[in-house]
Amino acid sequence: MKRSLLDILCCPVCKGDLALDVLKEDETGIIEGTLTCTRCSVAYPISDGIPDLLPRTESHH
Amino acid sequence: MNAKRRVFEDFAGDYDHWFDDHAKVYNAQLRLLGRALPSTGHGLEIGVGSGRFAAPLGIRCGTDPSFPLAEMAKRRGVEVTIGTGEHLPYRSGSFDYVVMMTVICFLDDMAKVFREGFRVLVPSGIIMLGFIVRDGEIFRHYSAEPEKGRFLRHARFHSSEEVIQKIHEAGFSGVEVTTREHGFCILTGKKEDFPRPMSTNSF
Repeated sequence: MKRSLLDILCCPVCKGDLALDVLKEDETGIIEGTLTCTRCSVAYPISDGIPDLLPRTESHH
Repeated sequence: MNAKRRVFEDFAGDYDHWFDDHAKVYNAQLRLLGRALPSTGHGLEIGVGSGRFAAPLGIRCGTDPSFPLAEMAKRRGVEVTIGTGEHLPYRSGSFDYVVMMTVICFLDDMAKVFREGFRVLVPSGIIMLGFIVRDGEIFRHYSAEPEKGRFLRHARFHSSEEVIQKIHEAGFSGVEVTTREHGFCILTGKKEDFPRPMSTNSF
């Protein structure tokens, strides 16, 4: 994902801001990393350049 | 993962090949949608699938619960997330238009997705839906095909009146049916508010 996408992303459940932790990045963008909600603390992985922002817990559904 | 989600994971390749195998129908839908799309602004496709609509139509962002389909959309140049329409992972007011192409039949909660679509739009933003109408000609034709049946048997179809009602209930106004052909309907709705400039997101 491109770093600029973070400007419009939020937690899918509580809509809180997401903090980005980058594990791997190249010229195309962030390849591996984590997006952590600063409000509800749920962590969402970024794998193969795609952030997985599906609700995580039962209470999220 | 429920059976509906699983079929889009396990048969993502079949889903994507359908567009090549039915190029005439696909190209006709592309033309119809392209005519109805705003010519400027940042768009989001909810249920972007493999990017078969977003990529050629220049819709920059897409979300889909299927990882293999999202991977294909990414390869086609769409900035994708894994996500659901009921819980959109985007900030309020992020998009000038939202598109949902042949997806509302697969939603768990259509009304909630429309409310989320409303939320992520800028004031004066546009929602655009393309859907197969319940009991229409295309619905009857596709249902008879083994490949499409694999996906469509998880679908719940709606009448255009039902969809229009839900769109209104989500807060949209100015709902307009731009296409109604052979049981396929495209409609648009507007998030009426005080007019403001287009979004300035630069991603």
